[in-house]
Amino acid sequence: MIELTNITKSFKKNEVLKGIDLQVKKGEVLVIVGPSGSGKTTLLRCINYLERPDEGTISVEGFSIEGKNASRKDILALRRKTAMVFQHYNLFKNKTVLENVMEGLIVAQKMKAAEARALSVDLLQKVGLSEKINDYPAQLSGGQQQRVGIARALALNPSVILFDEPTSALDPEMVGEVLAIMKKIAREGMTMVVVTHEIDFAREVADRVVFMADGVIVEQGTPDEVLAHPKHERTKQFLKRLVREPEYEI
Amino acid sequence: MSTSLQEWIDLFTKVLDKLPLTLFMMGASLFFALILGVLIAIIRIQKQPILYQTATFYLSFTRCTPLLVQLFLVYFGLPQLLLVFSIDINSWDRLIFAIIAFSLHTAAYLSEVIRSAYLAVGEAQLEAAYSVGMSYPQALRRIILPQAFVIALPNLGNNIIELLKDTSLAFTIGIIDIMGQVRIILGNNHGMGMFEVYIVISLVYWGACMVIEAVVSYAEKVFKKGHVGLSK
Amino acid sequence: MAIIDFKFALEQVPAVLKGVPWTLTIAIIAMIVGLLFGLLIALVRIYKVPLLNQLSILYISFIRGTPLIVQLYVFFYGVPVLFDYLNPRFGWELNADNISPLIYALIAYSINTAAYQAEIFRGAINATSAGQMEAAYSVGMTTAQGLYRIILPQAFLIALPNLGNLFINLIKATSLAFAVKVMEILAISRIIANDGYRFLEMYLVASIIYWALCLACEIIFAKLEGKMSRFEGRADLKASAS
Repeated sequence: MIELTNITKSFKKNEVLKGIDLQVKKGEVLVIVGPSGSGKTTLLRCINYLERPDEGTISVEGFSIEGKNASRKDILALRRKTAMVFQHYNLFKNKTVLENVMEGLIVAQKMKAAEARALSVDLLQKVGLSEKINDYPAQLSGGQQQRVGIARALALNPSVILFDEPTSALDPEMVGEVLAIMKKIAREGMTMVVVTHEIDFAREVADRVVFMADGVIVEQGTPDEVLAHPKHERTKQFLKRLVREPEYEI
Repeated sequence: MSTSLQEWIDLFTKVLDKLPLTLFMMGASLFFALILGVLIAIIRIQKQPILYQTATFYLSFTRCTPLLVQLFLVYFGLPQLLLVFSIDINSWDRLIFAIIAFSLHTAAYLSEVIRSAYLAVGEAQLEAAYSVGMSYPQALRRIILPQAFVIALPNLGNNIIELLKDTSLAFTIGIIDIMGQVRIILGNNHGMGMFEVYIVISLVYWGACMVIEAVVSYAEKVFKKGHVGLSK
Repeated sequence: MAIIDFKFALEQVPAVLKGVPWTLTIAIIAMIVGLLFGLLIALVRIYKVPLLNQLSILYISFIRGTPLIVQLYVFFYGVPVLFDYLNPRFGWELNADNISPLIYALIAYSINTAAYQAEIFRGAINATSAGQMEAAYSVGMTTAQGLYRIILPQAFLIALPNLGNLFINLIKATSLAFAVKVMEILAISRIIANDGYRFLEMYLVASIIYWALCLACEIIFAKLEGKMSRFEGRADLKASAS
């Protein structure tokens, strides 16, 4: 359903992605792990074109665009098939919780306000924030903000939700509430691509785990194959270090 | 509009003739404004009663009334006021009145620049200085002021540029600076109009401002060495 | 002669107050025109629109590097020259004498203030966090929608204190409108002062009127800020989170 072909991306002279091929099936939960600087976040951001790839093709549900010379219209169409949950939540600061969830529906999908409102209220209830719908993001805790971020992504009814280290900016005691909701929507069959350092989450929820390092995919497979019985030395090293000293990216 | 190159050059020369006077007004006013500005900043930081209220009142007046009004108040009003105390300053040079007005005006703005820079350095630096056994004056001289100076530089530069532009009002009390010379230039002109004259004047101010800007940004670079943390 | 002839000063207040509408008209209209153009120029500079960006840089540098009074004179004496140049070429019959002083003032002050507003908006837009636009893209907004619905409302709030200062400067700057022959507060005071040799009184009257205007503006802007910043909440404390 998602197909990335030969994605390359450089920042100045630093080649971050060296020709990545990746497929994601409908309803699959794909977790990307790897050391910082491995290019995993850049890859994720190429899927909805927040990062412009230098080469390669992105295809989501049969709609495919050339990385290098995509038109503005194509980019918009691609983004309207995807949704994203950000590391730093990126909730619209000037909008209430409810408005944050409704915004994309009204502006991008031209949904009627009443309909968007009903849908958004439902989703906010699902992430357990019914009582906060009229608050502004600045009044919420990090965990609550991220749950709004997930509701905002779900509301768009996207083909895939991209999670960019959704828990790494959170205080430890808030990580659980966010992961719980991610598990819930994974079970409901949402297609998800998740960049994370939460190995336990990957083990429990992922259908497939991809290990990236230095801009290439080193190995991929079921959580058991990659996380419990890694074949490559690079993967083993990464996992060993992760067990000893958990990596917190701030 | 059929003016020859030679005429333009003549015009530039005539305007540039008066640039030293403009720069002198700026320099002298800056000097007094800095002294007064530091004093006011100290009064405001230490919050000494009466003095503090007086300073605040002065700042409010200076920042809420046009410079031109202040200039007129000093030039026309001050002699009238002092005459009551039998002090006759009517014979003073106009330049002195201009410098008094510009100094008083600029001091108000500089005092705020200095005060906010001092406060921006922060209590933690002072505490750190105390913790290694420095006295307040030592901490001020060795730790606080050097940092505050770097913080204040960009705003200081902006205020110097403002001051330079402010001096363009001196002609209104009859000082023959760049602006005041316009009539004289036109008196013996060669078909050049007001428009051309003011274009040349604006270019001279523009050039002077760019020079000041360049000097300030060079100073910033020099003084920021070792202050990497602050610049980020 | 008394130090200050209060009676004389008080009697002249109504006459000087006649200048207030001129001051406010110039300041408010220039502010609004400057707002529109300032915003456009800020966007030109942020998105680095070729040619327009370089022109904007030049324009802002000129406005900030020359005294307002010189700009007023350049404009005042430049328009007739421009008309003399255009009329024979296009067969027009534009006459600079038919333009009222107020129009001169409005245009000149708008040109001046737009440059400062452009810089304020550029700073404010850059101060909104990059993630906000990315989030707008991620829910399927176009750049224009993201700017209009998300970025600009936030940037406007960030810009508000500076805009307030700018407006107060504009009010003070109207004291130079005599250069384009507008009779506002200071010009009126000056005439009365010259007639009666009552300089101190008249310039004090003028100061107090300007002062009152500026304080009123300060209060209005502070109220406006309080009203608009409802969504800021604890944002200041948590600014580091994003």
